[in-house]
Amino acid sequence: MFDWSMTPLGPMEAWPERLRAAADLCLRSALPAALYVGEQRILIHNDAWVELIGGEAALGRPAPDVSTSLWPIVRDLVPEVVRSGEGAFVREQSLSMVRDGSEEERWWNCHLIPVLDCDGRPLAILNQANEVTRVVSAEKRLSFQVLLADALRGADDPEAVKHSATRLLGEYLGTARVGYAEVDEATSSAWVRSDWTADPDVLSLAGQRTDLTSFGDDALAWLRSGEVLMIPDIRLLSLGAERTQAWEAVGLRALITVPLVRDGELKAMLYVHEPHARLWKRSDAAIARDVAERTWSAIERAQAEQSLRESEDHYRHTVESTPQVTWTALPSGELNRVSGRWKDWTGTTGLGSAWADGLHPEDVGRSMAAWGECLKTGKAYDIEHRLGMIGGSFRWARSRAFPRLGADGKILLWYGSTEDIHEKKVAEEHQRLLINELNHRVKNSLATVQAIAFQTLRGDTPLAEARARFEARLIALSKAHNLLTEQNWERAALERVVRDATEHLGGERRFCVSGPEVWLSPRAALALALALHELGTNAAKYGALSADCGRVEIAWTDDGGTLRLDWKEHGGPAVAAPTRRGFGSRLIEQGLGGDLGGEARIAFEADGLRCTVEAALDQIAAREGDIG
Amino acid sequence: MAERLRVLIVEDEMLVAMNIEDMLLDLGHEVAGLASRLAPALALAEEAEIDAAVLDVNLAGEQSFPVADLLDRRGIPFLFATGYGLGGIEERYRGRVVLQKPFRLADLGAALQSAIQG
Repeated sequence: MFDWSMTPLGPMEAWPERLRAAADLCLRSALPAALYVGEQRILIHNDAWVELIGGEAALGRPAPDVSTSLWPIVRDLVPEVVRSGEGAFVREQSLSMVRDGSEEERWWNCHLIPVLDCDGRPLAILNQANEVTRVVSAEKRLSFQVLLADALRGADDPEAVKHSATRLLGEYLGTARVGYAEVDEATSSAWVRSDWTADPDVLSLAGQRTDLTSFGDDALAWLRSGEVLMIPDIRLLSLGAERTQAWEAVGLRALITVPLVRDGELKAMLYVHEPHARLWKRSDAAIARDVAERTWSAIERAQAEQSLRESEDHYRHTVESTPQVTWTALPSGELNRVSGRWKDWTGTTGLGSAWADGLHPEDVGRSMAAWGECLKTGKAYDIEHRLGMIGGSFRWARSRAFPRLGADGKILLWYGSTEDIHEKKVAEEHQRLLINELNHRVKNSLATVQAIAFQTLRGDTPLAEARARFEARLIALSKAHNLLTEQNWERAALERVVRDATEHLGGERRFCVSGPEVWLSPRAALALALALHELGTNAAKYGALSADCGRVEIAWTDDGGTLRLDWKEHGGPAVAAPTRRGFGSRLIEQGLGGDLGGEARIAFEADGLRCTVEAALDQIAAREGDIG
Repeated sequence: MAERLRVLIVEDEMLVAMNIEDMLLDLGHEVAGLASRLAPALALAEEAEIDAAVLDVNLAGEQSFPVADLLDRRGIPFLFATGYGLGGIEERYRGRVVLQKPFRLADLGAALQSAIQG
């Protein structure tokens, strides 16, 4: 038994009856209980009081003098309880206490009951205490976790997730700086994208890159093993003076670091920093680890969503900006997705069976039959058909589709595209026409050459002479072709035809050429070139050009829609009509007249041969689109 | 030797027409008319006393099928001579005798014979 006689209370036998009863109650209480006796608040307490509150036994000492007691919690209530004689209750009051060597915040509910004497005067106050630390911290953690979950839920940006989580954790722990560092083991460095600081005076580590070796080997090995690192004061580590000072310079004395290890590799770290030494609680590490884990899953989810979104964006952009229409169809053949371009083109949705509405009516049957066949056989669809465009025109397109098969070999979906091939198709058609036309022209040219050969070689002309004539005629024809080619086979200038036909016979020295500009059709140009060749050859052999000073005058007029061309030879030998009509005169009189749709006459005038050609200009002039 | 036929030539390229004319003469036939445009060709096909005709298809941009129609109505056999080949012949005349330019003397003779024999 405690000897109360040495205390201000004196021996217990001398206590008022009611105080003795209260003391008995206090000592027998299972809860921590104490009596504050008299004006001095002398302490009487039970064993549970010492056990739970910690510290020294303080029986018989004034409560305000005892360092480890609940007095700070109840101090302010005591005068009112004494005055009114009524009990009082305080709940969830915190008090910092050292237990198991580490300082912890602990929470208490306290009951104050006045002990009165027979006259109602206060003798003492009974304090029963109930520790509620577990409940309070569970609630605090719960509400923190709710806040955290709210902040992380629906966050779709990894940076926003980090920002919310670091701020909440920093506020909860009442710390200076919380951040998230990405680790690159390849370069052995950690990099902070952004962090949270309690106020602007605290240095932010955002943008900083740190060599992992600056953590020290022990700490690094600890982190790499996936364990939370909790350091109350870095001066206690054997980092070396230089490193320790470097860390302190950036505001770091105490820290909690949670590592993220994936596939055996350190990927990232969540850090909590204090600029002064701090005795961390185990629950601080637990909550930091909890925050780190939830944040990482939220970040990973947000990153996955972001990359999915980017991939969808990319896909949509690709689909919409490709010059083709892309579409998908169900195994039934109904289109279930068609890119917007189809509507831009045809004004129809293309969905379901409506794709047929976008086609040229003549191509619908053929296209549907081919599509039906593909649906049945699973063969790729590939067809050229015309699309009915919004403006009412039609354009050629190529549609293709390939089936995607499931594991069971059945078609899951068709992936199709429709491409505008109009220009290509039109060019192909144009080329086909051109080749046809080329074939026709070559055949006609060969027929002409055949005729020239036939006419040149018949009769009794010696072979060498016949060959020279044949070649000269072919060259005359070839020159006329050149002229026409220059003008895209649309026309040739009459003056050029005349000059080409006479150049090799002396040109301006022998020929006087005059006449207005006339553009000839290809047919007229070819006929005239051959006729002029025959006239020139004849003149050189028998006519004006066979004499030294003979000349030829070639003049034409456009006389109200009629072309009159006159070839007149001067200064040659006297002319006599030939006894026999040769190829030349036949070609001119019969052929040229026919080709020009007019008349050509040869007159054997005594002073020189004359050839006159008359033709309606509308028969021989170049016309739009005339390709001979 | 085949019988002597009076043949109409419809051909807009005079050199070629002259050649056909000479070929017909060499084959022992007679040239009963020569037209290089559609209008005179129609007139000849309607009135001329002829036994057969050689028709170019393209006459300075116009097609000669109306001439063929007229000849058919009169029961006069004819053949086409063209640089276009069969592709340039109207559907209804695809079964007729068609000579591809250029052609040989003997080809013209044989073509005329088969046109006459129908």
